[in-house]
Amino acid sequence: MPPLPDDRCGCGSGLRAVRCCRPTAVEPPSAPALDRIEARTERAADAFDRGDAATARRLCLKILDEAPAHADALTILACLLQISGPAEAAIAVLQRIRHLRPDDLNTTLDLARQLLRAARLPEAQAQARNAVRLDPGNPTSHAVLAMALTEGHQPHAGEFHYRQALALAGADAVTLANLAWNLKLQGRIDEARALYRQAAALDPAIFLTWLGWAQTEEAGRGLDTASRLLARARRIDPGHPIGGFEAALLGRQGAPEAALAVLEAAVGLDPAGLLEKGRLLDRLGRHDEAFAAMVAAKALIRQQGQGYAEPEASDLIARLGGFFIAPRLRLLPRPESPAAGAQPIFVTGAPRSGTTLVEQILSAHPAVAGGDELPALAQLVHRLPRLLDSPLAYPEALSELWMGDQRDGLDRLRDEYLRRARKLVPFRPGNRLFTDKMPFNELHLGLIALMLPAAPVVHVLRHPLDVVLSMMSHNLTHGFQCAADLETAARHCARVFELVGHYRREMPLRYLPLRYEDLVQEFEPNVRRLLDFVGLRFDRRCLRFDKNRRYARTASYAQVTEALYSRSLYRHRNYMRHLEPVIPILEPVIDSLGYSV
Amino acid sequence: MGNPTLPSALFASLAPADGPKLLDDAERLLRDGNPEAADLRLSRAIALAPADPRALGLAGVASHLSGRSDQALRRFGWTVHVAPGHAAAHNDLCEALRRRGRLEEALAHGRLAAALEPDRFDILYNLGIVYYDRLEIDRAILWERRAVRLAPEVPGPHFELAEGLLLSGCFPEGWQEYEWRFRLPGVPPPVPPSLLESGRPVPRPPWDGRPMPSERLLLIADQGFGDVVQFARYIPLAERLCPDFVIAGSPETLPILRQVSGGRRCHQDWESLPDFDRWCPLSGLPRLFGTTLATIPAEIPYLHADPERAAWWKERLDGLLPKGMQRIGLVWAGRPSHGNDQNRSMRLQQLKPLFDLDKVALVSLQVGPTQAEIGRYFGKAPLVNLGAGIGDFDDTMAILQSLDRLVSVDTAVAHLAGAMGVPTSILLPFAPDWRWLLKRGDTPWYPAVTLHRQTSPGRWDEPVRAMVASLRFRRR
Repeated sequence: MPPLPDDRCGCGSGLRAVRCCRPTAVEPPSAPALDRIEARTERAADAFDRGDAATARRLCLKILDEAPAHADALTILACLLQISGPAEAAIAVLQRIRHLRPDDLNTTLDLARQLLRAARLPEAQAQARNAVRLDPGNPTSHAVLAMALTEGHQPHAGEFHYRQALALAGADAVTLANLAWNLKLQGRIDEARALYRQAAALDPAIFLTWLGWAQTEEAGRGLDTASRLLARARRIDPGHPIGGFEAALLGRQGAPEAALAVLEAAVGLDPAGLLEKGRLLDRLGRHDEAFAAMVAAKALIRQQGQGYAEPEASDLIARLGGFFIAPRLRLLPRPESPAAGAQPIFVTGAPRSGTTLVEQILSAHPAVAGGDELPALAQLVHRLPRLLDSPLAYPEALSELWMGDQRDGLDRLRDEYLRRARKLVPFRPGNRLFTDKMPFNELHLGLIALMLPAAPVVHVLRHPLDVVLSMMSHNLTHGFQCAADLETAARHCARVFELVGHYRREMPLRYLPLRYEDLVQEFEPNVRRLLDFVGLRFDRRCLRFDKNRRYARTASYAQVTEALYSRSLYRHRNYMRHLEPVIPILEPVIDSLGYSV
Repeated sequence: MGNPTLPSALFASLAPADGPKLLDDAERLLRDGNPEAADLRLSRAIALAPADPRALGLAGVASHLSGRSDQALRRFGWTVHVAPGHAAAHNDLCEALRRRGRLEEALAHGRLAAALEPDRFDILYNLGIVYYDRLEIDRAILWERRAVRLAPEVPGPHFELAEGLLLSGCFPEGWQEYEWRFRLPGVPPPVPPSLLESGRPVPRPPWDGRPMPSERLLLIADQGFGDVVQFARYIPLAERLCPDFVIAGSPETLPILRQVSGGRRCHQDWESLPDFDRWCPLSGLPRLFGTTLATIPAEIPYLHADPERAAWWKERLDGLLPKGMQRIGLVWAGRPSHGNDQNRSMRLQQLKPLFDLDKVALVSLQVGPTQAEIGRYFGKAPLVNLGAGIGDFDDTMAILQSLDRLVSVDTAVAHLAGAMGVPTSILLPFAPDWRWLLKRGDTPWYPAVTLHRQTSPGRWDEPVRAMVASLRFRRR
């Protein structure tokens, strides 16, 4: 429905929709109007400089109502919105300025930062790349791109740009701390610690330096040091909400009651705090309260704009099922040449199904590097139509493989995946395999089997009710953000499960289903089975995965530093009343897997 | 008052006198293969006379022919209820129960029918089949002999007698009776009569087994694919007596026939055949060669994988499966249209004890709709689905060559493995096909095959357990 002329824009800029995100044609201002606009612009700039935000804003709205493309007024309004929000409006206005002034570096950087804050990572990265293109000698451009890459699961590339920024502008405490965080995400805890020390020495008054350092120590199992550093952070900014992390730390130190007390004392918990509270209440056996905290957290997450992209998910899954059928696959070529170098092991499954545990077991083997949640396959899928020079989308773009000039397409796709993946994997000498444990990678089992037919795929399975319950207790973005709600998590899991069955019917796969419950209850036989399947000799170190010093960078990192424990088995039984709405959705999956409700 | 579920208009338009005509019409329609139209008339007839055994019996037949077996069973059951002295009703119910595997009840009604009308060959024939399914083969043979005596020109009892005799190892008489197979209703002749008559004043006669040094013999790859594999071993023997021979077979059988006869002799359509003087179906060769249990030709292997294709599949399998694991091929279901499929086929999940074996990788050669069960396989042993990539029997043989063992129900793939000498475990239903004989765990047809038989009808757990135990034992 077109907006009515006086409707305010939904982005929150304060402008009428027809002058903002849903513009209609405007007559050019007359000469007297132009004079009036210019005078107002000067007054708006003065008001902004004086700190009179209300006047500045009122004037800008008036100007832009008459001249929607007035770049100066847009710039002032964008500054105001960046300060006071809403973020969506700031982004919308910055995008309009960028459209008017595509070569403006400051606008581009502001836009990239706003997008980063809004967790719109692919767009943030695109703008940050534009900033580097506009001025490769600008350290801020590199620092912003580094942030976008680091947050976007490409810490290796991010590290490069942090180091560029440092080389261009010299060491500063913020960039050093950011680089340290980047290295922490790569599992390089010792290097990160050294950089935090350097950053704190340069400027000991930055709260985030101490918080990041504390989190790094926690990841490196230095829980007491982490507590000490956290106390230091709190002294700098006692008002900063750190309850979520503090509680997690106390929880790991075996003090769940104290952890809970921290959270209950906090005012206005954010989703992370609420989820931590839910997990602590669960540990304390207060299940109804635990579930209520999870539900509250998910409601907040949805309010922030995260939600299951169901139309996109169901469309893609339907198209994958339609494309990957045996008669079609028989006609596709196979990779022409074997791939050299370290080869992947795909550890797939829903998030919270035990993929981190399996990766930790495998990466304890001297032949295996832990790659963690590699974005390489998703990136490949995104680029696939371009790589195959196809006018179609994925998966239909794979039809190009029938063309005479694309017969080597699978080799190119495979090499592109390997190139991207290997950049992100922290290899050690002797590693000839690496793991890719991006959850829901099983969505692309067909593509994996085409381009890497010999790559082992371990599908970690767990009672679906345990999976969705655990997805409820964490903030996850995997699977089209299905974990934003209980029912959408269940629907997505059921859809993906059905698709995996389809792939297995239609094509040969090097596929091993591995039940989390079996792994926990009969550990060694299943570790042996796992190693057999991926083609590795048994190594006793794989049985002591908790001694694996590698830092798993996902939500399960704390669990995998504990010896095997069974308290997570069939946890859903404590929540049956709450899980009732999803039982009809998951029942076919539960039956197929041989579990019971 | 009529049946309240039927519209009253039906009654307004019918009078009781219409009943016999409706039944005659229905019977005619059933004979003409139109059970749905017959059912319409029978519903009206039953509405007029709900306890008429003829109407109910015919309605049961209509349901059966329409594939509504539950309804057929109910209708036959009701017929017996309203007419307990009606032999035909017991006979129909006997057959319906047998098809559902309810052999105890089938036997009771079959015996009752035979007692009520001991001179009806069809009743004795059905009773013989129940005894065969119960693996009481001596009795099956007895009742089929009686049926044959009553109706010596009806092929059904002869064929069932053949099955019983062959299963018992009484090959000479069994082969003779087996010759009735082409006279069974709905079975086409092995060679179109027009072809036999073409260009000759007298139709070309069947081969009698005597040497024909200067005449041409036409062999026909008849019956199912498994039969073709099994009887292909006779082709070199026939060649010694008739050096000039050609073979007609379906395109699917050519990879098998080419190996034992040379490709140029194989034809997949009648039009391309050169002239011939005599003919013989492959399934008729054991009779002509006088095969007994002691003289089964078993020069194994007589089938081989194409080396190039075998290398291609081996490379594929090496990529899909880890090294050092025993590779066990699986086929758990046959062609669904096979007459005995519900007894010979199983579900993948029923092989569960096999899934728990250590150091075993499973390779599915299953084709057809039951391949879908792989999507719900979550056993411990990795399972690779090659079925989707199998194009023909050349592929199947190439894959079999890369396996350490095949585990299969009674299908053509099991025959192929047997003919190639691939170690094979065949899981058999309680009353197996005649070729697997009785009680033994081996088979003279395929020395590398081990048989695991159901010990009670429909129960796969026992033979599967025995098969897995024997695999464990062999691996020690």
